Amino acid sequence: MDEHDAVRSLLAGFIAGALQADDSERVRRHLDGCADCAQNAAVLQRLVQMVQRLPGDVPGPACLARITDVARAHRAKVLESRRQAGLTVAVALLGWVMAAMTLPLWQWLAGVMRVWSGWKIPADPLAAFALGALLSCLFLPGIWAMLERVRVACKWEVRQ
Amino acid sequence: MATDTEADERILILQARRGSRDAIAALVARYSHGLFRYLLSLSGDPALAEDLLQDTWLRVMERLDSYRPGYPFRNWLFTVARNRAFDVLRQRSRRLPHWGADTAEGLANPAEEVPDPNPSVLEKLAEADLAQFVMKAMKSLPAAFREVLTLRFEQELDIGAIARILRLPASAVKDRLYRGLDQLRLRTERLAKHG
Repeated sequence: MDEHDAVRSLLAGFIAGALQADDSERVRRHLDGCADCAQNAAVLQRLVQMVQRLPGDVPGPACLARITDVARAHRAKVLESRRQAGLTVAVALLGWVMAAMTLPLWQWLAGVMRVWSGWKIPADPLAAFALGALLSCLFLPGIWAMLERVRVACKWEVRQ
Repeated sequence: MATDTEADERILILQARRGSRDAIAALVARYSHGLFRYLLSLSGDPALAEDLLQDTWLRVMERLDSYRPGYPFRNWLFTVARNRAFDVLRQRSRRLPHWGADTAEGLANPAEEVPDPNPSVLEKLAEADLAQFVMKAMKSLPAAFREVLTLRFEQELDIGAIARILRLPASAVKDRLYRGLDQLRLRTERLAKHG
């Protein structure tokens, strides 16, 4: 393959900007002295310009407005579900904290009511934490219902 | 340093994350035309491209929080659009010839790739005629070629960005690009000669 044929095979890559710098330079040098290849390069360049300016379908304003509405509503749903997930975590944490804080109260009540006088908060922090977590299960539904009522009362909605 | 447009875009994205209708409308208006043209190049069907465009924006709304501000938003959008289009087209059992392959080998008939030594008929064609032939030739190209030509010349993305969107090495993108351009030329010339 001589230089002319080699450059000819590189022309599309050259016009597409897909050649290495040295190959681009090689093509450029050849084009300066070869009218045939320069003409071919001009044809490819014209094709590229035509592709860039091709008329074609584009979505109309009504379509864009509809997509915007659907997208916004979907985003609102995503934010709402994330808010619910955050609320669930907050409730769980709050339940644990309350359970841990009220452990002495439960112990005292148990003593007064003589339900189980031997009941004591475990000295081991891990065991105390586990007991708190267990008790928190009793608190969660109540706390959840309470926070939901507050949310509805305050009309906390996803910002539009 | 971020340009005004980039800063403006960043603000729009932040507001869209919070659910602002105006910001979402601005992003949809700014990017939908380019996305639609790209999706049309993948699907070849305007009605399907419109559905895919809506699907893409829904997916964008779901994943907006995972977008990293350092990465060009437009490129990220095209990646989401491509993934969504492939999911939907696969579900619809459309044939996706050779997509996902590392190169475009086998996409073109080797006989078609022989350069014509004669002067091109395209030189003498009027703009309007040439536009018609180019449009037809683009539609007849294999999807993998049409896709890279659309991204490179219509959307003016650089080769690195296209490689990231297509998840291909830059060399494979270049290969598709210049073979696609060669094919476009040959098919346009054939249409110009034989109608």
